Amino acid sequence: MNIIKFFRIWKRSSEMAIEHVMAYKTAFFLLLLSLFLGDILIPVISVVIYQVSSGIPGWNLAEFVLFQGTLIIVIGLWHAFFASLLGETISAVEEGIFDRTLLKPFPSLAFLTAYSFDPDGLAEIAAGIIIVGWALAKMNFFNSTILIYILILLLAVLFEYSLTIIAASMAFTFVRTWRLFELINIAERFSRYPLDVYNKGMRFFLTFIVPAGIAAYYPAAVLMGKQTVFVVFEMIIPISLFFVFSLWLWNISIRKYNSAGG
Amino acid sequence: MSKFSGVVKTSIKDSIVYRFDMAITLITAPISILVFYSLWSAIYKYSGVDVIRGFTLVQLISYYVLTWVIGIFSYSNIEDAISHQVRSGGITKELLKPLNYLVSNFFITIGHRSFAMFIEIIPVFAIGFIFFKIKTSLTYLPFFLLSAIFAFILVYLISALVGMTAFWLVHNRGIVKIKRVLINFLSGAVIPLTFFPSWFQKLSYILPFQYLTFIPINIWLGKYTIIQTIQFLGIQLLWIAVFYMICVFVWKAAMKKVAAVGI
Repeated sequence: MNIIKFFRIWKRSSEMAIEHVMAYKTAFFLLLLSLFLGDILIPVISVVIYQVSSGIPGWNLAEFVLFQGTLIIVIGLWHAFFASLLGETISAVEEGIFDRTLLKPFPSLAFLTAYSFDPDGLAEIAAGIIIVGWALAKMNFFNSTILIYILILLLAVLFEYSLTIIAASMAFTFVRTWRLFELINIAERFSRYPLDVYNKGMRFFLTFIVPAGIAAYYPAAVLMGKQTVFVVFEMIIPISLFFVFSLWLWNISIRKYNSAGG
Repeated sequence: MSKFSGVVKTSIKDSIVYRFDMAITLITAPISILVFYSLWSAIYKYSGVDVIRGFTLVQLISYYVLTWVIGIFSYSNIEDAISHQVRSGGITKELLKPLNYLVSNFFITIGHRSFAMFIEIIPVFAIGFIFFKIKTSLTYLPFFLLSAIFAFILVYLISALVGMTAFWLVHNRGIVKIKRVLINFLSGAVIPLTFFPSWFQKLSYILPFQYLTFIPINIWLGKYTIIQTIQFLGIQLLWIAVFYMICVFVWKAAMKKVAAVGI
């Protein structure tokens, strides 16, 4: 695969995506507002939880808000750069027009990824950054581990991307299944709270089998000194294996495609 | 009435074809309940208390299981249907049919939800019964069922009203999302309203949204006297009447606005 060609396609498709949303400016800004509002209300629930109880074991309010902000950034990055891959695959399989992608002189997954930019995700990234910024300011915390935080955060996004590829691969088997998006939501549900709330068996499952639990946990835990920076090595293995598995699944799934639609 | 029973039958058949869509709830609901249970077990244990804002852990889990039940039962995608048909221009075809658009879509929703009862609601209830022993008294069961039906109608009317914004905005996904966020928050679907500060509770009590989730569940949990329960059902009916009138008014205005060019 030619990386330069990939970025050229990505740049052009992203420009088109922006032009498309700008054609309906009011609708676009209302949508950004709705996404922003939805994310900003998440820490409000946390404040309520901490007002009526002692909160999450081992996490004070600012730390937990930092955790949630991190998850919102991860989801926002996924939404902005990879989420459309799933929708595009489902609708192309449903309409029986996926062969158009297969006929392109470019790997199908890379091509769809290059076409996945969605400006809506930017509102979520902004909300996440504001929430994380608020939490860091509250903790008076600024040091060099923030660079490791960003690196681990990108690994978490790679996990979300892998999950999207797995869900998209399933679209070839279960034609017209828009609820495949809920598979991503399931992972997101497990990621919503620190691994500390789960029992040992669940923690192992969410770290090494389906590494959903680490999406926001490890970046936030490293930043707060709850985990050492070496955890990055611990994360690379399960996430890389998960990514390789998703690529393998995609490659065997596209062979099932038969243009019949659904 | 027979034409509407035909609409219900067709929508049930449509649901059967896409049963996998509904069956995903069989995965998502237990997982969500498991996550919620893990979270709140940890919080109760860490706080060293048995009751938080009137809810024991078991009651809170029951509350959450019931938010799923009510959510599935009262779900309506009429807002997406209106938006899609306005954007595509398909709304004219719908308006030419000898059936009232909003009424026939109401019966379509009844058909979809009837099928969801078997595929989604009964399994979720089963999880609640088996793992969390959720229970109600026979006295409150009929009131709960009535309240859930009223919640279903109210959700449909609110969704239809939000969907109608498509006649003015065309692309109304933002408004739809804002509505979903606010309803989740104000209906008590995320956590019970009694967990919020008193000013927020007072605000939510004067709004219609608590009648979508919080009130029906508290009726199930037997948190009100019979008199209070009947009063709440009366207020629910009143809100249905209010939203019905608003819907009729806005629909008439939308019909003057409709331009079926498609986009």
